[in-house]
Amino acid sequence: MLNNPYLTISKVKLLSVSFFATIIPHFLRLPIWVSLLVIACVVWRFHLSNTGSAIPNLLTRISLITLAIILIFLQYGALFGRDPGVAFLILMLGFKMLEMKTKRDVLFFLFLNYFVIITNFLYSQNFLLAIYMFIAVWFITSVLININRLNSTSNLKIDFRLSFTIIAQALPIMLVMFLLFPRIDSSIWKLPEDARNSSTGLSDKMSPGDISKLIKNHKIAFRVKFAKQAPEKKNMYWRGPVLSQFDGRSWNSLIPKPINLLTHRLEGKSYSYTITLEATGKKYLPTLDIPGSAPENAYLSQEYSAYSNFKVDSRKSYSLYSRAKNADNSYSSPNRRIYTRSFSRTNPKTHRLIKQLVSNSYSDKELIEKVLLKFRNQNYVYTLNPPILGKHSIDDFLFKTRRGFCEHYASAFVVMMRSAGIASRVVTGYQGGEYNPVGNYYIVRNSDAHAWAEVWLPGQGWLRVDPTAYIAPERIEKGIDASLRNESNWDRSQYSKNAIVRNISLYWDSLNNSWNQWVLGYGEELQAKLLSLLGFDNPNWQQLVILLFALIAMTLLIVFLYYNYRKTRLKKDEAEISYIKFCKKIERAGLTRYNWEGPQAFSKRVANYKDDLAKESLVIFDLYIDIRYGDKVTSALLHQFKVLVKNFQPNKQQN
Amino acid sequence: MTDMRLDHTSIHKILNHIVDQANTIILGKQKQIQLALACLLSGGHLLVEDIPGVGKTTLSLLLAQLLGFDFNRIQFTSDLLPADIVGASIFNKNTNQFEFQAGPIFSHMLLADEVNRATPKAQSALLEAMEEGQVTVDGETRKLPEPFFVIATQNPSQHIGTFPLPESQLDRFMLCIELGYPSFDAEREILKGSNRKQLIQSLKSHLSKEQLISVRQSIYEVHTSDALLDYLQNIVEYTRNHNAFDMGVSPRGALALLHCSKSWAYLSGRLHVLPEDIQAVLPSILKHRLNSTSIENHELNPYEEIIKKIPIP
Amino acid sequence: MLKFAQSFTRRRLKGPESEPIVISRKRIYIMPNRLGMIFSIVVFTMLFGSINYDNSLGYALSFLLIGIGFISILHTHSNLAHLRIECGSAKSVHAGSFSIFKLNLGSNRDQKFNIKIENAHSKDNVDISFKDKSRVKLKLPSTKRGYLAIGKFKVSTDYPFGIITAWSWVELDFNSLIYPLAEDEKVAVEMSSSHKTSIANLDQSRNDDFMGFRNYQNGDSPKQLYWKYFPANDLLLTKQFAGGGEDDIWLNWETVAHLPIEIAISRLCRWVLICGQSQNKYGLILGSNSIKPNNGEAHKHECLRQLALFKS
Repeated sequence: MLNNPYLTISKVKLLSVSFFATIIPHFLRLPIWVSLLVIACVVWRFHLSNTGSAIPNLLTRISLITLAIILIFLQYGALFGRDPGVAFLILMLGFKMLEMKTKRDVLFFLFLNYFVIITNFLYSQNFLLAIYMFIAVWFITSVLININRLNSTSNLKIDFRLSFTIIAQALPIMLVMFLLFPRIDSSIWKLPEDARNSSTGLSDKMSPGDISKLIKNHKIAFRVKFAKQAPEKKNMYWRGPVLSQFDGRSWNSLIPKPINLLTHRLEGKSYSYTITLEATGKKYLPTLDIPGSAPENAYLSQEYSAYSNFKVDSRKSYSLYSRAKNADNSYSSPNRRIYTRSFSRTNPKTHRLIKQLVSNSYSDKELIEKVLLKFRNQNYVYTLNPPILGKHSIDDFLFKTRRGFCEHYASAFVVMMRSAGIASRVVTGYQGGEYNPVGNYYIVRNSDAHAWAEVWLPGQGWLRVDPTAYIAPERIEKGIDASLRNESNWDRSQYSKNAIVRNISLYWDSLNNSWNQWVLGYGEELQAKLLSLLGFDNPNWQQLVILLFALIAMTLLIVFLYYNYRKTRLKKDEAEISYIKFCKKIERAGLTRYNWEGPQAFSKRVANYKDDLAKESLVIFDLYIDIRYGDKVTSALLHQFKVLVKNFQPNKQQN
Repeated sequence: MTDMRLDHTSIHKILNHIVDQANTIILGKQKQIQLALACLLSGGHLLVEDIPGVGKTTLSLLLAQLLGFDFNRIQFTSDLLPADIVGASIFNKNTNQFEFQAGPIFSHMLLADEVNRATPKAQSALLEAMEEGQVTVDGETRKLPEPFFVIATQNPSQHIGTFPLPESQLDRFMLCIELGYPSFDAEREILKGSNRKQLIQSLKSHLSKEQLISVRQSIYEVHTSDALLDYLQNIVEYTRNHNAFDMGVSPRGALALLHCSKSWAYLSGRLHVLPEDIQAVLPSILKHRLNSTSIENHELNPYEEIIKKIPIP
Repeated sequence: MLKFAQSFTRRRLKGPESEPIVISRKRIYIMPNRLGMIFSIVVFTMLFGSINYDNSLGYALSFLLIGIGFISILHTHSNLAHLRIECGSAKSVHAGSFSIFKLNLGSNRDQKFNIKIENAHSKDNVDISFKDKSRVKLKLPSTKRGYLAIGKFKVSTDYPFGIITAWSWVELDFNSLIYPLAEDEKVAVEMSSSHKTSIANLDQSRNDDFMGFRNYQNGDSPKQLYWKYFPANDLLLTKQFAGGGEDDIWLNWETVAHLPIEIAISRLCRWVLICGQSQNKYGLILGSNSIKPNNGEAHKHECLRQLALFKS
């Protein structure tokens, strides 16, 4: 330890810097004891280097590792997987810090630091993290260079400059590989379950309060870009899972069955759009009501919801079109056993009320209107904080509390319709969205989550009925913030920004959107497009690899040539370069300068060699001597010299 | 600026005249004469090394005469005592006190003939005086006249009865030149011609002491470019790190090389130093400073060889 | 694998070259070393992870590191290229001990870092700044007197990342003179009785012995005056000292010629060393070759040089 040249206190400082640079983002996520343990290891290392004492013995090290394994198991209940894996890796690096002895240890430690950076990307891949990646790599690389030096301390600035240069030179290679490295969309091994981004979104179940929970989450659910025209905001109903089964309290969706697209007919204005959906961990794909078809690798259910064939574990982009009206009215009514099923044992008051309303109505339409009017006229309140409902949840809501959220109204409405014998169902999804003029797209957040109802009327098919629109019309027309502005636990920070902040955040989101689409979304599909742009319409992987290596080799060659060229320029001054050219010309005329020969001696030799050569060259020699050894050098003189050398043409024929 | 240049050309004329006159006395030794002059003009002491009888003394006499210096001469012998050089305190029996009797060293130009015949004690007395420009006798320091030049002659060290000068003291001589036998024609002239000593006495000095001092100032101001200093440093570097030499050139040696090159350039009528100037004085600068360990490997003079090892870009 | 490649390329060297050797691009070999293997394992693990998780930033980082790996080939290469190697000095030593060869490393381009120089017996590493020279030492065991060549040695570097090694084999025309092994001092002294002035009796220090007085002459230093005598007799006396005066010693090959040559040489060698410590002048006769009596370091080395090269 004492005579270990690689771990002086200054090197330990550098290593700690690089170590912390890589783990700081993890610190926010890791359990506090892991962070403390790692910091303790670093402090311990400083102490060791300061006092020059020996590293902890094998027993201590093994017991530390065992302790770490036990603690991780207690914390996570597992040793493998993303979170325990990262915690374990970082702890091991902390311990490695303690036991480093040789240069090889130190370098290996630094290589592992690179590895820690990549684990950050399992949690997030946003734009800022990419910048962070470059800074962290810069730090680690600089320390790496410093470790490889003999006398390191004083040259840290040079190390940082050199590593910056190297990273800049490596960038083209990175770019070429990023674009051309053969991408395959399926994974090689099955992913560990928790490696996926923890995701939020709609579910295929709904109990009272589920949606209001989601509403408090301001994360972006998806972004939509319309090809031409966007529908009005109040018509932007984003369809998610349809819930048709009611058990008296909560709603469930049916197992989705693909629709027969031949019979699926729509009419009205058509909208084409592209949705970039954040990971949900579920299969549903939100679409604008009502989609005309399903995206690739997905299908449309009989309830008009789009479902992907795979779980959406990463950001997914898909394009499709929707139209305003359902034209599916010529076919038989839906399965009444499912869509009119209501539990008559629960919510007796509601059933009684409906029976009374049905007897007073001439048609289904009139009934619907009466129910909606009841909501509007009888002091129902739209709130994020409804009181707790009892066993007969609909009864309690309709007659006692009268305070509820969209899910309560949709649910109550459908139950009422069903007890009147009208086929109906709850549709969950999103409503509205925030327009981003920078990128010309709409941002739909989880807080835009919504639930509404659909009823089936003969001759008209499934019709959307949104009871919320009757109770709180501003929710539909102006958005969620407008309707919840006065709620105590409504987080308004997302909406109450001043114009500048709002603009910045729009720009920022637009940047993120492009980043998501072009960088993070770069895969098989975009690669194929790029290659066909380059003229490779159907490339096999051999061609791709050859192209890849050719481009890498080209980059290396350019850097290599640049280096050589730059270095020669650094070394010699202009007068010298011209003089060497001049000497080469004389050499062609028959006289070679010895490399130790001064200009005056050479000029005498030239003069003795040939008279005509002497006349022309004498001026040049004199000028060179003045420039190089005299004390009155001007740029004009230098220029004159260069011109003279350029025009100097020794006559070869006479020889 | 123009003033200085005018001054320079007229002085250059005088210097040329001096060299011409010297060449009429000592025949066929232009380079040595110019080197000796360059050495004295840049304020250095000169060491002449050769076998007896080739004109070492004549050269020193000649230089003293041409530069108009008063001239003393000490013949070094094995029984020479320091007091014979610097002077001594003599006991005056009448006053019962010591009185200082100045030695021959108190002159502008001193010829120390056959310096390596004397014992080291006597040698160091001279060499200390050369370095300090002053002598200390019986605890009292006395200044030597300004300017003060020493031309020392020495026999090749293989000769019997010599005490070779130590390296540290040799370093105090700026240049070491060899005269060598005269050429056939030159020797014929010597044999035919009249007495050299009388010829020298008939010469007249052309340079006043003030002029000499201004010449020395001008030489000091001769321009050296960075490219030239690079070259000079490469040479010094080479001697220090190379196998062929035990010891490299000291910083004092490097300075000597610079100053001497400047006065060589000045003597050649230039106000800036060229690599050729360095090459001209280099062998004489190095000869007594470097101990070549591998002379037998080189047929040629190793000091000339160095020149060919250092490229001039 | 790197070791194998290095020993393989060693054989391609054609024999000693005269200095200075400039490491041209052509003679540089370059290969990843063991740490390079570890680095690529780490990077490829990262790449596989990225493929598996389809993680774009993971791809980016893996490719960046691969790029850095590629670029570092160039940097390592140019850190060795244009390195200039010159002979420094090689102090002569006696056979049996390690001979140290000093080399001067310079750069014809920019500065260089962490240049390793290595032979079978020693290694050294050094940074080289532009225009300046750095000295390195290589050790080589000397077994017999005469010239010892520096042999092949390896110049290498793994700067800046330590993952790639560039190397070049060099053989300089650079010899060190190895003096003969000196015989055991006791034996050599005992066997020296045949000399006129026995080496065993050599006075190790040369004192200025007081010889007597003479009358004062002008110029005598006051320090040498015998002042005690003056007040009583009114006569100044000067103390006189004498130094040296011993006979010159001749060390002759003939006195040891009956011995086997190496023993004879090593005995002469010891004698030279003993004489060298005294102030006496000594000369050496080796057959037809003779060195006149003298003393001092230069003389001693000349004698040892002749012994080293005699009949070898």
